[in-house]
Amino acid sequence: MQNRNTLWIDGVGGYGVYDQFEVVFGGRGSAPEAIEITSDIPKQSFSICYMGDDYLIEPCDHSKVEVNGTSIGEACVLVHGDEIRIGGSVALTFAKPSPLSDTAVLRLTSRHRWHESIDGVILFRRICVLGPSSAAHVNCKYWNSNLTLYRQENAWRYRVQSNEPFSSGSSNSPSLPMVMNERILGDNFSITIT
Amino acid sequence: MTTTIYQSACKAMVTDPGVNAIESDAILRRTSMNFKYGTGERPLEGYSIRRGLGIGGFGEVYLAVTDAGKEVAIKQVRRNLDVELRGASQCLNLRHPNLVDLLDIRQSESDFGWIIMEYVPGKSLRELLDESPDGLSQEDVMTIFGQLGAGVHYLHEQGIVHRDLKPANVFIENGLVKIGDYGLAKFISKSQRGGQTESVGTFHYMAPEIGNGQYGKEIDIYSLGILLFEMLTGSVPFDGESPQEIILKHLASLPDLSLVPLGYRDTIARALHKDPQSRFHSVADMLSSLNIAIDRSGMAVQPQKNLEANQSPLPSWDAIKRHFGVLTPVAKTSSASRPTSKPAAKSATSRSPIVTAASKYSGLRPVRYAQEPIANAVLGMFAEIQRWFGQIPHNSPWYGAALAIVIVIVVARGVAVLPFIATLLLCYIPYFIVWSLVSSYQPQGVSEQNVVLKPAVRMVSLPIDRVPDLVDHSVPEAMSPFPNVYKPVAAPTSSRKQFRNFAQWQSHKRAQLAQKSTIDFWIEWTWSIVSSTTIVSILSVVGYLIAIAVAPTRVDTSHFISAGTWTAVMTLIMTWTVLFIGKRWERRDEDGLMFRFTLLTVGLGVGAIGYGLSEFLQVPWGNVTYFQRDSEPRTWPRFHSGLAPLLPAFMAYFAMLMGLVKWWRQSDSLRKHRFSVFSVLWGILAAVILSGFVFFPTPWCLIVAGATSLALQMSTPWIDSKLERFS
Repeated sequence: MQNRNTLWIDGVGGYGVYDQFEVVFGGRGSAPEAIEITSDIPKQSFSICYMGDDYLIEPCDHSKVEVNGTSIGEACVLVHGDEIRIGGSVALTFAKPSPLSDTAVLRLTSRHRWHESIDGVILFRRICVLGPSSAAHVNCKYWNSNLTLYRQENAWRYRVQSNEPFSSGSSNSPSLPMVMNERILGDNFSITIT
Repeated sequence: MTTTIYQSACKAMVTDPGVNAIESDAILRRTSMNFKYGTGERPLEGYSIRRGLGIGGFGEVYLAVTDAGKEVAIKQVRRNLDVELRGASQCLNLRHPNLVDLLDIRQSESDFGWIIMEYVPGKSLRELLDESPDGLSQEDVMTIFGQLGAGVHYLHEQGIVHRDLKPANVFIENGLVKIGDYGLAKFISKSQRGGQTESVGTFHYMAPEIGNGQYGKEIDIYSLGILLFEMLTGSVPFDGESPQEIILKHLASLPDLSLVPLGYRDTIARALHKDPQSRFHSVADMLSSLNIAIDRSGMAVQPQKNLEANQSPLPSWDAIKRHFGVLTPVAKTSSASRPTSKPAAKSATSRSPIVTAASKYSGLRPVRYAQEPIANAVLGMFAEIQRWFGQIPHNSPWYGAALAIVIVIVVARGVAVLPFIATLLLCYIPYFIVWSLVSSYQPQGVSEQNVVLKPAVRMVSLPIDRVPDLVDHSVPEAMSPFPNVYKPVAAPTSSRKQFRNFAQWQSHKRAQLAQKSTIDFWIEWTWSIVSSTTIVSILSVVGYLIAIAVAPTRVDTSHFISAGTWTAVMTLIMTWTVLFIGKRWERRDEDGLMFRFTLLTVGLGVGAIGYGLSEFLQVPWGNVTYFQRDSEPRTWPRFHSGLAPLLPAFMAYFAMLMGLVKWWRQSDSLRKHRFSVFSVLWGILAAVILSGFVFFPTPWCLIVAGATSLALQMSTPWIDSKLERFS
């Protein structure tokens, strides 16, 4: 389960972070390996897998899946801004805001909730950017700087990209480890990964 | 105690430049987001923290989960513990869909107070406004404001004044608005970090009388006025670099209502009145001015259409003014002319949360009275003066000065003005009777009762799939904070984004008019002919009387009957001619040169008819012409016989008169203004200029030009571009 974490960003939101090539989504009572959306869709509704540089969405068990209003019967490539509708009621948006990273974010736009009080699901690929930048995966508009989250040797690490260069002249802080369940307090932010 | 805190704080802030820190959502943006407790901690038995939600002057708010798995927001109260907890405890059992539920109050082992509340996962209004710097769409504004008002109204009914209404305290989850932070005493403190302006957030929404220690519900109504302004425009009405500047603006400045769409101005102006007693007496009144009602369950609803049967037969002055278009209700815009999204249209017959639809007052009296242009203009002018006068603080020297000037004028000149006013009324009453008779015509297929004198709005009876969509779809449905079910039925849409300017709107509407059937065209034309005939008859009598009244002593007025008859008939012929041609041209884009040439050519014929009529009536032009005794007008040998114009003079004069003035614009239902005095004056001026070139007997030629212009504008329908572009 170490490839599945939850990122709690104070004042911003909570995000499930999934560092795996394929994730399955389902409705209420889904299997533990699936990401649960509290809704009446099937327990295994669709899957999203990362292949090459693309994300492919594929319906499971003949579930009704639409991408931008078009019903799909087989795997279909997702691009930034795509709107996904499952079973006619659950609606999500797929965002891949940074051209430098393949990390994608799924957010619910219908009246449904993710399981466990989170606000979105991050499909993690190499790095994830949090901060005020428009290209950030999670927009934290009141932050002063971007924070880059990444994995190294099976552990989470982070680096702060300040708008103001440090005294050494570098605009990036050194890479720091991110210990599970320990809060990271920054200039005007605090995050915890669990 | 709270009162004292507010009073002293406000006074201090006005006088002490060092005072600058207050609790505010802005703190969240500028200070640290370092919460005391982290994920997984349990500062309060039974509640496990997920993450921090926000920090205010009072303490911190967290998203927590109970041991049973329920999500709640828990607020730690650090300061003013007793006061805050007492305030919250008074609100524990309040229940309203538009209020964040207070679930419990607890005290932790560390002696902190905790308020346990419903968790609202949606965005705050502050976030929505930050995402829309130019303001929200009017649909969303009406949806939010109705629910916001319903929540505040409920609080007032329970004897609670919120005192800190601001966007950061309003949350929206799936279209449902919830007000938070009520029942808490607000704390304004002096800055502990002197010199730095940290925040002026709350001051933007603070009523001016708070400085005097007044805390009635009027301060919430004032804040609602500010919120409505901000939602519509994206900015607050009173802004400044410092708290002192903002407070002074609250005390002395008037909001710039030109930034706000027309239908909201009166509501905001009254809500932001400096004198609390002059504001709305209740939130329900304020909502009512926007056609939002509160039903028995306390929810904001859209009143049903066709409420005539339920209305009081005695309208209030406000209702009358609203009828006359002075207080323009937002929902006045015809829903038929304003296609909304399909889900909204689908639910049009059912009662839905919020708003618009037919005016609440639509049953009080026929709306056609309301649209009478002259009354509309005069009452509008009075309303503007009244509003301006009402905004002057009563203790201001300007108020006394303005009052003194009015009294002096009335005392000194009142007697002289009275006969003038009486004469105007005598002329107006018969006009109004005739006007109301002729304007009762409604084109076919029109079911709505609004806008009778703006028939072109409904004349366009396009099939629904051909009606251009005026709804702003710039925000995808899925991204909007308001799912379909919460969309207002016929809320005024943000069509201002559709038409960048008047010309673009005109072009768009012309394409719609081109779809009109031939039968509709002839019905409208015939009706304009009937209206214009009545109007010209009245104007001719008035013109005839004026001509007699101002005639030089040497002019023999016994001949005025024939000259007056000639003038009336020629006015009618000119009006009919322009109506016929102009009606055809309103479907196409303007081609000035071609139009002028056509009218000039037609004018030759009109002139010939004028000559024939003159001969038939045997008008003695030499006896009925005004001129200075020492400067007899210069006539042309083959054009005039003495002072009497001959056929060439008639033809030349009318051809030039019709070619010089853009008469077609005055009969265009897409013209800018319902009635333009300038157009009338320009018609008369053109007649004067031409009369100097090709002599034509005065004042008759001037009366023809002026009366034609008046008749054209008063007898043709008009579509108010502002209603469609800005409402």
